[in-house]
Amino acid sequence: MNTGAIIMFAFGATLLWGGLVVTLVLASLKSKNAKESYSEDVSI
Amino acid sequence: MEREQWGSRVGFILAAVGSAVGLGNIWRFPYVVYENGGGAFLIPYFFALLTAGIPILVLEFGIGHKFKGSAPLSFRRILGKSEWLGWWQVLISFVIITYYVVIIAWAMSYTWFSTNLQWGEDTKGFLFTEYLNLSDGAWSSGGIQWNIFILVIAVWALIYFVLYKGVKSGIEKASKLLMPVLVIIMILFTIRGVTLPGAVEGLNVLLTPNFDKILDAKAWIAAYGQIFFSLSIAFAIMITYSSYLPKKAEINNSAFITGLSNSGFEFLAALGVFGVIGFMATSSGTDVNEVAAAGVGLAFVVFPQIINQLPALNEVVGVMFFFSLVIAGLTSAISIVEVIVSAVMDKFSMSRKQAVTAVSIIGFLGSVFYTTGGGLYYLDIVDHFINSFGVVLAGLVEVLIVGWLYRLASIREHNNLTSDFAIGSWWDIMIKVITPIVLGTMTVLNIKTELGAPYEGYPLDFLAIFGWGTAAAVIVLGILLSLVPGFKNEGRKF
Repeated sequence: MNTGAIIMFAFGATLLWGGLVVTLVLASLKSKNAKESYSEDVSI
Repeated sequence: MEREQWGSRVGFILAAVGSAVGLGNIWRFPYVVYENGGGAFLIPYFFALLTAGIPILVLEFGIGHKFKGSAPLSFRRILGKSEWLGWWQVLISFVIITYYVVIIAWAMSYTWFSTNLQWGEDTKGFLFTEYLNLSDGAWSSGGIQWNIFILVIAVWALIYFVLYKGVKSGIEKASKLLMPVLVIIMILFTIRGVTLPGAVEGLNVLLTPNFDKILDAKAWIAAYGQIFFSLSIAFAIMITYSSYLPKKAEINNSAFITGLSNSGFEFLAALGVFGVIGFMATSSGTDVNEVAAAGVGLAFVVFPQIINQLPALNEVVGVMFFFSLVIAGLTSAISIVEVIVSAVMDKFSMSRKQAVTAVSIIGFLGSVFYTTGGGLYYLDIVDHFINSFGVVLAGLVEVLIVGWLYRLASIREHNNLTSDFAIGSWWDIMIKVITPIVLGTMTVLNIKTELGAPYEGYPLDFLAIFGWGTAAAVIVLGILLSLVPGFKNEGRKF
């Protein structure tokens, strides 16, 4: 691939895939409910 | 009647991502990137994701979670007189699902055809003459194509089965099964695509930045359009799905995860698609620009040609590609039908079983229309008009009503209470100012284009009935449905 294409690939991958990883890590760190069941929370 | 609820956050996010990731991610996005500046397009695209896509997701997740209802009920609770907007979005979903199911049926057929490359050398002739038996013109229906009709029944049966089981046992379980399978298939497909001889040529064409193109407003409109159509926003899906969240559910980060997953998936798909397009161009001695295509032409004409020419594993790659279309389509179709089911249940106090049965039967009858020899003409026109003058316009009215006639900040404050991180007042500006400007511009440009020349050269009377007629009918019917008495179990006031 040419340099421009490689740079834009890195740009897209970092923002989209990297951004997704950051949000997933944040979810697992911050939220107690990140992976757990909603079953105990039935208050609507 | 107690509202159904997701079983877990993972289940909700997978269902939302499953809804967002659809056929357009695989067959539309790669071409939009290629056409609008290659790698440079990623700049307006990412900007559109942050300024419109994710903010609208946050808004719709917030509306569903705060007002705990299908779209008509939620809008009724926001502003009594805006129930019609919810019905308009529900009817847009109805129109879309009637033809969307047919495309999934085609993808199912082609998954089977891949096992022995049944399309032969003339893939265009095979699609239009042998498979679709396309009629002579727009006004000629050509009769029902029974091979497609039977698969349409099968797709509706699958949707019926999943929705009949309910939110937790049906939609969530199906999403937890199908989404990982889809991602794995797409990763394998992309690895195969980018390792083919000549793939680099395709990737260079896809990613080499042409910064001149992004100085043109067209690229920015295309970026906002792609984000908007790709995220399943403005036709009530995300409002419906988030209405099944429990009170303490996280909102803001879930919207970011959904938006980034959808965009991350289509970026991955684009690499795979242009890898194989590069291979095709190199092996046939043509230019990548001559092979690049989108939509039905890319999936059912160009891809079979590419699969024919692969050096090895032709059938396997074919099955992977078309099966990924089936899964991506099915998870989106389930969400679209759930929008209608949820609204019918809320309005007419029907049980899930009654609502799913009624909606599936009526939806199936609507789909029959597209299984005829003239089905592709109807599909092309209805899809074009319902997106240009249905989804975009409904999205515009939604952000105007919620942004300007309701205290928008209360939704942000509501979301922030249970979210991983708080969202500031910048979000209000995105919803109240940026998004209406973009959607308003898109609407004006769409009208200008439409008035300039008849869409794809179709007869004007045909466009008036199936195009403009459909787009107008969903608004009128939406208003009429909002006038019908209902919502006996509306419950607490907001």
